[in-house]
Amino acid sequence: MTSHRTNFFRILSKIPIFDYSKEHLNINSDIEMMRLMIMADFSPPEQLELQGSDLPNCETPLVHLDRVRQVQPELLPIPKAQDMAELFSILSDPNRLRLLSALAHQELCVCDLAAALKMSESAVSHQLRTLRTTHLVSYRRIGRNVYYRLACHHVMHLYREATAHLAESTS
Amino acid sequence: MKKRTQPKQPPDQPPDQRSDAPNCEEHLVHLEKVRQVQPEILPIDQAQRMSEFFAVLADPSRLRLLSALANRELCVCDLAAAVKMGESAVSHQLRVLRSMRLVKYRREGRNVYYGLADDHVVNLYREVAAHLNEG
Repeated sequence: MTSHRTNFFRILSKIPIFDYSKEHLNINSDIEMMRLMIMADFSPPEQLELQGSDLPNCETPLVHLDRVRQVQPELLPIPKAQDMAELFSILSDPNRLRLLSALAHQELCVCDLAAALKMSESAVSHQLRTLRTTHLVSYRRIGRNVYYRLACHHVMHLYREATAHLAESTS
Repeated sequence: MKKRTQPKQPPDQPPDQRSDAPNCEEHLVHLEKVRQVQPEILPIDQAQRMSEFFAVLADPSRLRLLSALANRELCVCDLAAAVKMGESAVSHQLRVLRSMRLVKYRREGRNVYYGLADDHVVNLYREVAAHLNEG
């Protein structure tokens, strides 16, 4: 076993370390995969601790190469992940969510929104502006009024799915 | 030409920002609409919880993990290799995601497979992705 280990490490040391900082990751490189597999086999002792915690890990850490290859094209690219994270950070505000919950029901003008939410009109305007820059709400003019609504059905579904998820996880 | 009276705007806002969120020219509350919508408004405590939920999603590496799990189950080792993160970092993020019940796991033999917790999470992820693709 010991000789196997030294052999593995000898192989390991000959494989160049992959530069993770570079954007153009060549995940299909078999050498890189080999290295990941070998490293996984000699995983640090913290792995053992994890088994006992509430978040279990595999008992024999081994990378399934075929699955990793499969998942690669579906993985959210880093710039897109950042855009999505920004969108979610806009949504992580109770007041903005309350505005969206009102607009999920019907189109409303700033005056109505302010009255319904017991917020000042300027505060409502401010939040609507933020929601508009992320394309979560849109507006239309009818005569002298300006009505706000959810920008598209995706926003409506997004809000509904989040509500349903939270309702289930508390019940 | 008759001059229209504009509603007063706060002086600290430049005009281009004002035009982003236009307001009614005549400020008038539609009482019946307000009454209708009031029961639909998210209560404050629920809005708070939902904002915490979205705050967990407001992290690029957590979103990348979710995107990997969108179509299949994966173990920590596979996830770490796919997203090029250390296994302990992946474990940490999975724990955060599990605290909001976004992911779940199951044991199969000696392996532990992680997946998205339910259809709502899958749909949520797809709707956001679709929204961003349109924008």
